[in-house]
Amino acid sequence: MNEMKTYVRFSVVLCSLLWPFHSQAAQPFKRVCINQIVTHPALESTVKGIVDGLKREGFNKGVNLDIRLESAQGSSSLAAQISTKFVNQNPDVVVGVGTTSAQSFLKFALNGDVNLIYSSVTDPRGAGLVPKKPNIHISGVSNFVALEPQLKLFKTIQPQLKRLGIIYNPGELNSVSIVKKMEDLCGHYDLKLVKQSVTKGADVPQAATKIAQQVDAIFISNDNTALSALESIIGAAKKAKVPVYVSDTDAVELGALAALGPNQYQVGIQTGQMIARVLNGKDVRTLPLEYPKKMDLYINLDAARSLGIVVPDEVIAQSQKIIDWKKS
Amino acid sequence: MSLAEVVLSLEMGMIYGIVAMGIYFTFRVIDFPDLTCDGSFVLGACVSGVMIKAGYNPLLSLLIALLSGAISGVFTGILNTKLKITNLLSGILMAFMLYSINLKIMGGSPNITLMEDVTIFTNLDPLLTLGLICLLVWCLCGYTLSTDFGLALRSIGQNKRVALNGGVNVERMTILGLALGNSLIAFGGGLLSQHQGFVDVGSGVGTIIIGLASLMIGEKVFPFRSPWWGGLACIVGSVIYRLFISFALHSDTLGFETQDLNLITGLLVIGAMVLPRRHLC
Repeated sequence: MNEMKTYVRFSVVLCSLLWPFHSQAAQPFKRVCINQIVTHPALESTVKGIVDGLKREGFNKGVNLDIRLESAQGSSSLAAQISTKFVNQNPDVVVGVGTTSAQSFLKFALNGDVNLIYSSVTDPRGAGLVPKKPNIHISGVSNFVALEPQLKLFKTIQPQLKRLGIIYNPGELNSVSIVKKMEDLCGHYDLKLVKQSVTKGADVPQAATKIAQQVDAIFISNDNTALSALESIIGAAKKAKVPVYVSDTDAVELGALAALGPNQYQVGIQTGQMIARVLNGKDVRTLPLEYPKKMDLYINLDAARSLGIVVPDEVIAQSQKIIDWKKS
Repeated sequence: MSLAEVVLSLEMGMIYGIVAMGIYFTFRVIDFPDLTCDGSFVLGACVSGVMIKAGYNPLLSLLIALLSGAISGVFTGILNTKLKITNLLSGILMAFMLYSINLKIMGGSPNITLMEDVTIFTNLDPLLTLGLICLLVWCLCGYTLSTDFGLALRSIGQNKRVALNGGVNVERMTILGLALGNSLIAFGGGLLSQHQGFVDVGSGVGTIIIGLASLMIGEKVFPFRSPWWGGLACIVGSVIYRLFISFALHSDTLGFETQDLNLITGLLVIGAMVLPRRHLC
């Protein structure tokens, strides 16, 4: 008897849990569902940019737009469940922010069930987001950062630069493709690339201390692992009197010397505008993959001073933002 | 909650159910707290993914994935029995080293897509296919554990000394148990990568937690000690766990936020665990 009771209780609990979600009424407004791979400052500003970009095009949250956001907390199986949930809510557009989240929508987009727009994916081709088959409802904005202008910048600030260190996670597709490209390019700029891999945030302090002894400058691309422990890299670099260059402009305020890269918020705005075009009736299939339109240059003169580096005036003239506590 | 979400929960539940069965082999049958699974799960996914990319039959790739998992289990077993490293550390070390090995297998790239390749789900209904695979794996496991070999395997989980006195080669059985468990986990990893259409080197994080939670939920539902029930408990527990997550994903309608997801899932699991305890049969 007791067993029976438990089963009854269990099924009652289960049914009552499922009940409220049985039916969801169709709404008159456009629906955009965002699956964000992990909660992380750079991705947060991308998502904020998407919302603001949509607003600029006349899609206001709660007025004529129903926007839904879930974070997969870094787990690919959770991303899959979120994507299935979203696809079944009849969205006009689904958005994958980050490589794995975008990939979790891929199956549905290839079947033609949804319009997929991805954002903040560095290597969409490598991730399979640019399918060989024609007529697929996928497009998006990559956050790929052109490497040559960055290398030129490093050389302008530090003409004696010979050994450039890079800290990255070999588990991130974004970083692996950037390191590959860097290796090819460094030869042209008379640089030697010193690679240092880290697999998790906790490894970063040791890795940074080690590499800071071996190089003239450290470069951090848009690697999530390195960026999440950026403070410890900057700390280690400071001790060794080595500057840190980044591609994420937001990181300059933390003490990096300079950043030349797309503003993650701007990438979001660009994605938002792309989504708006789809909501206005444009066919996703006709929209090509976009790259960041604008690169920003941020300089931290405080960091330069403490390292004894004189930033050339031409670089200062080009920069969009200068961080200098002495002046302000 | 829509039908498609329930179907996905069932599919993923069955895949992770096989993983949970692997964990059942190590944690329950031979009583070895094996943490290799975070690595062997991805190992299976990598092997299967790389073979599919190279043009091999997806079913064959799964069998090789299974074999690769068995090899990783054997290594954990050797670390523990021959080199006398404690059981927890053997598993941790193995999972740790497998991360680099997995990256090597994938040719240095952390992510492979299988979207445009043929997988076992290309022409078959995933739910039905997975159902059949699960049934097959369940029968094989149940049968194996009922044979003389299975009894010897189970005996070392009950009482090592008595097993030894009874003429069981405990070291060999430990290694075999780990091989069997990890082969199932790697098989699950291969299945998931084909189901999801990509392999990611980070996808193994937390496999042990998911597997153990599923196993324990299942054991609450079927508190019987026979291996046949044990296997079933793994699959049912895993499906329930996935349904819980699906449900928790809808908690936004109750005013919760995205970051509350783990809290809600955790509370649901606690709810399942405190269901009144029943007498064991």
